Amino acid sequence: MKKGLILAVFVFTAMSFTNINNKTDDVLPEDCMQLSIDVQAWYESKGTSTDVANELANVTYVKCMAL
Amino acid sequence: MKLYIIVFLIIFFNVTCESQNQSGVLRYKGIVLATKTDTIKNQRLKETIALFNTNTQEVLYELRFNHDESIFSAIENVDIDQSHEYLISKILQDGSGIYYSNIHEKYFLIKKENYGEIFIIKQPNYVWELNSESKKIGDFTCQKATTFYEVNNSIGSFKHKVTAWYTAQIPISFGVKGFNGLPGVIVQIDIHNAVFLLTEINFNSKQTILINKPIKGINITKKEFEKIGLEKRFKN
Repeated sequence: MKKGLILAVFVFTAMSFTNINNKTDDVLPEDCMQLSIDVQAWYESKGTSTDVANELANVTYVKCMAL
Repeated sequence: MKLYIIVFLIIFFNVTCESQNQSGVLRYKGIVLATKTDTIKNQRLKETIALFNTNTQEVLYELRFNHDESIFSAIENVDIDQSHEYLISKILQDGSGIYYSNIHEKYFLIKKENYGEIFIIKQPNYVWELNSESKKIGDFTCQKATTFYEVNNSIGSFKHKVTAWYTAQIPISFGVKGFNGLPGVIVQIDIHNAVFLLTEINFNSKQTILINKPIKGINITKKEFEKIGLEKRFKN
């Protein structure tokens, strides 16, 4: 019974780690950072102020990382 | 005939004075105008901008004023759905700041939270060009006025044309986002990629509305604020 419980906890923990790793593989922070930089640069090229373009870049980064 | 002129002048003077002395609250709704994405080659960027264009919401603003001062800001209350779309729309309308104006000053103030700090940005008043063109918006006969606002960012310097439709039927010179100084209330104003429309007028002649000048924050000029932006922006 005790052995079974330890095994179950081990399997669950291993699965959790696998899921985390899979998620990290899907969205890389570098990709989100690059997208944010592109968003900032694009809005600034249209004449948007740096602070507003920066806020849009921040929101893009947060949203991208949450996907 | 002379008597008629005197009576007319007395009535006209009274009406004008009453309008000028009133306190009140004007409400506006801000709408984001979509930006063109067809020239964007980067697919991921194109999808993101397209999403910003389509997932927008109206943002509600309030202009509170008394005889001398006004405050313009987005309405913040629990009933407003603070969704991701709402946040994006507010940013695109540059609607996060609090705009303070005093009729006796040649500048207005913007209180803004950026880069982890609170700034109070001093900006000179806009200079308007009044146009003879007029149109009817709702019940108001509106006159056209134009001005420019300048943006200096990492790409360069931009001059954006701003078009306002104001009505002299309500002689209040406080306006949306510091666009003050017109001979009447702004009914519609087109600023860069957003339109602001007047939705509600509430005068309060019995009680003066108290306006608090923003004081807590780093006092800075527009030029200095733009310089900070260049140092703190997302970059490679």
